[in-house]
This record gives sequence, structure tokens and C-alpha cells, in this order.
Amino acid sequence: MLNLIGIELYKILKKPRTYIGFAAIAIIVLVVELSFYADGKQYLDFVLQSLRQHFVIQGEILNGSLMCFVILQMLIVQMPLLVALVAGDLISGEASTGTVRMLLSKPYTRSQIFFAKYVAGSVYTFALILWLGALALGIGIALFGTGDLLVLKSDELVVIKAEDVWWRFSAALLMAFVSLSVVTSFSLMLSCFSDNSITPIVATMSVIIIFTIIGALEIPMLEKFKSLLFTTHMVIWRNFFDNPLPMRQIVSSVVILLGHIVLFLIIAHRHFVRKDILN
Amino acid sequence: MTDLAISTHALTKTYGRLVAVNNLNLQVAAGEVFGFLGPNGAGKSTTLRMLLTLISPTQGEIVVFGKNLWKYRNEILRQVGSIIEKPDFYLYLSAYDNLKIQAQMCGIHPTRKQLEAMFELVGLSGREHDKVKTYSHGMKQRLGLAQALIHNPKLIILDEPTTGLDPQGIIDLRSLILRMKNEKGITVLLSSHILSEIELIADSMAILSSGKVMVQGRVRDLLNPEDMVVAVEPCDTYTCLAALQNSMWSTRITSVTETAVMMRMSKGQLPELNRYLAENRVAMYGISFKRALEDYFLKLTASGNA
Repeated sequence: MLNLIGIELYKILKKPRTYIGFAAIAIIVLVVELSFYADGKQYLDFVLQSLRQHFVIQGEILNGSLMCFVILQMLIVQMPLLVALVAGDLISGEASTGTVRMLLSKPYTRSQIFFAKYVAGSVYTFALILWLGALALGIGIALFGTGDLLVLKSDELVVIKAEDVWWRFSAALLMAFVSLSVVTSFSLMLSCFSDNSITPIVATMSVIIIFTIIGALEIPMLEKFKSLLFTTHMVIWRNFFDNPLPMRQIVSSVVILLGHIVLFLIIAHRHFVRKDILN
Repeated sequence: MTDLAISTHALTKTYGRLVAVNNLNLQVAAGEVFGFLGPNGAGKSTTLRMLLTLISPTQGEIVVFGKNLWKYRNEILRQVGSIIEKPDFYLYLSAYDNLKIQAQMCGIHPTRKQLEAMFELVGLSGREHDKVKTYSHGMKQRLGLAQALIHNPKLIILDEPTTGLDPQGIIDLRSLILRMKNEKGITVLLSSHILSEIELIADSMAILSSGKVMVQGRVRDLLNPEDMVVAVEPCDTYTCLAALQNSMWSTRITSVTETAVMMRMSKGQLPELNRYLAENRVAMYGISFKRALEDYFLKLTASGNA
């Protein structure tokens, strides 16, 4: 099984499309951080103008932690596309090139092949999250230094001490990984039903967009339904920057996200192990 | 009793009402080249895919090297190399990487020397580190063969392996298959819709039509020159028929068309027939002949492609 996972990872590493996500993240992070470095102070002064009337703000607000938080807020929305780009291709890509015939006539069970692909896809997702976090925080600290994190929410202002920042970012990134793992499993599921890699990628993004729109609608009839959508729980990473931590909400979201992962994997696996390879 | 590499028992595959493979009983002896013939849509590819577990049978059993295929799937597939329809590769990888992955998927970790020896065998030395997307069709076919052979299989399944190859490529492939059989004792199951191709290389063969085995046996027995289909094309059919009906040849006539009298006989009787027609002043455009199985297969292919 490890041999199979190694092969799948090697194939992902050698695909040019794998690096699109890493390159896109690097470019966006650099652009945002350098823009803030150039005139971020003025922008922040403008944003904090009303706050300064009521609070005395001391120290450097514009620091690496704030930059990392801002970038995570901006990029976490685009991450599903980058994940789907690789995960959606894992099985359908093999079907479109015909290598699925070669793969499935090898002395491994279809279940082993399926889970090796899922693990490899998850490793890619994790690497992408890690890259985003490391780059955003690393460049942020290099350009702006460290300090307390000031999180401005719609109804409150949360100040997180510098020594607390590290574990909160780690937990938030882990949570983002769980959220994106739902996208990985969803794309993989669609990938099992398709013979070309474009369909699963487009379908994944369409579903995420539709669910996000439904989630934003303020219609009472949809309230109960909204809590079941995985997109509703994909932003739960932000809760790690609340004081105190809303543990109940976090646990409930994790359970719902994990439930989705299991459901998508069961459907995908069931189809994958039974399907006849006709093309 | 000859050891069997493959035997199928009442193997059937249906898609709704369509019967792709119908009650197939196939026997392939170990160490032989077995030709699997049939027109397009006869069920050859479906059968080969069932042998590789790419398609699950609706009914029936497949036994490979004496073991049930679905029960001992991994153990059996470790001994099988294949090319189905066309060789498949990861085009973004080099030929070397493709071959290495293929070997690893079969549970072996070949050394650089072993891989290079395989490239040498299929005539791809010097191009092994090029990306497969830069390969020509013929080179891909050769690489496909290397992929099928890298783990030293006991059985090779090749589906239409000569498709798209140039004449030299076909000759090379044929000699490679014979070398594998003669030097390593590998069993080769080869599908094709060209009888002459099978005739040159196979020890045994089966002809499939509409999912059913129509004929199965040793090639030398089936393509026997003692059983020829002869078409006599006279200038005047009635004169010819009259001459033949008053002779020993009358029992040889199988059918008559407007332009030809069809007969069955051994190849050795042809000069005699020719002489008889000449002596009886039957003017002719020509006499053509085919082996009976060849004629049958051509008719099958024509109707299959119609």
C-alpha cells in the first residue's frame, strides 16, 4: 500500500498542473504583502480611524500575524479550486488517457488503488495549506515583524497575544485542511463518475458556488438546510481567533465535515470498485 | 494432458439486452501463442478485459494457471502482462519513469541495468529518458511491449498489437512474440481481426462472432489446405455447369451464382479440375481459391463490419 501511495505521490509531483496552485499562492501572497509594505500603514490608519476615538492602540498593529490572517481570509475562498484541480483529475485523468486500464489490471485491489489516490490527494491538499500558511506568515514576519494580532469582527474586537498566535494559526490551518479535505473527497467522488478531468473540476466549483450562495441567503426556510451544507462549515477555521474558543461550534462543524468526507468516500469507493472499464 | 494457461467456462457478459460474450468456453494451453480472432464487435475486447478483471462477468468462470481469477486475482495478475486496445502511458513522464512505475506496480523494483536491458530488447535504447509525449506511435507500441514484459510475466495478453505499426514494426513485433514464446515459454494471447496475421504466429486459435466461439483448434488443422473453397468464373455459367454436372465434379459443387460456380476440394485436385474444364472447352475468366476457414472468416468479417 505504501508503495502505491508513493507511486501516486510521484505522479502528482510530476504533473505540471500540481504547481499551478503553489505558484498562484506564492504570487498572491507576495503581491498582498508587498502592497501592504508599500502603503499598508495609511490603509490601516484609515480603517482604525473610528476605533482610535474609543481605544488607545499601542504597538505595531501591522505585523506578520495580521498579514497572515488577512491573506488566509482572502485565499481560503480560492483554495477549493486549487484542490479540485488535482483531486478532480486523480481518477478521471487516468480514464481520459487510458492509463486506468493499465492501473486496474495490476496486482492491487481497486480499494487499495482508490485509497492510495485519496491519501495522495490529501497529502497534496495538506502541502498546499502548509505552503499558504508558511508563506503568508514567513514573508509577513520577515517584512513586518511579530506582535499581537488584532482581529476586527463585525461586532467585536479580539486581541490575541503574540504568544498565542502560533498555536491558533496551527489549529486554524489544520481546520482549513479538514475543510479542504471535503473538497478533495468530493472532487475524487466526481472524478470516479467521469472520463475527463474538466467535468469534476467544474462541477466541484459549481457546487461550492451554489452552496455558498444558498448559505448567504437570509431565508428562514433554508436555515436548517444551510447548517447541513459543507460550505457553511468550511469557514470554521476563523473561530480559532475568537476569545473564548467556541468549542461546541468547532466540534459540531468538524463532525459535519468529517461526515461529508466519509459519505463522499463511500459513494466514490462503491462506484469505483464496481465499474466496468469499457473505454 | 497439456497444462492450461487460461480456461473459461460458460463465460457470459451482458449489458441489458445486449449479449457481448455468450457462454464462452475457451482453452489456451500454456506456452503457446493463441490467436483470438473475430470481426469488430465480436466480443474479443470484452473477453480480454474480463481476463484482466477490468470488466466483471455476468456469469461463468475464468481459470488462469489452474486458479480462479476472481479468487486469486492479485496472485494471477502478478504473472500477467498486457496491452489492451493501445498501450497507455503517463505522457508527462519519461519512458524510463513509465517503465519503472509499471514494474513497481507489479511489485518488483528493477535496477537501472534491468530497465536499460528492456529498452535494448524493444529497440528504444537512447530514447528512454525522453518524455513519452514525444514518442511516435511505433515507439509507443514498443514501449507498451516493454511495459508488458518488465515483470517477467508467464502470460501476455495483447489486444490488436499491430494496429498502427509500420511493416517493419509488425515484423519486429512478430519476431519478439515468437522469441518470448520460444526462449521464455511465455503464453501469448493475441487478438486480431486479421486472419493472416494470426496464421503467421499462432499455434492455436479461436474465431469469435457475436460473442460466441465459432471455431477453435490448432491453426495447422483449421487452416488445412485439404479443404479449399474454389470459385470457378466461367464466361458462360450454363455451359460450365453442364460440363461439371456430367462428371465426378458434380458432388463438389456447393453453390452457383450468376458469375461463379463455387466448389470445395483439396488443393491437389485443382490442376485436375483445370484440365477437365479445358478438355471440355469451358471458357473461363479464372479460378480462384481460398482455404475454407479463410473464406468463412472473410464472410464473418464482412458481415461484422456491414
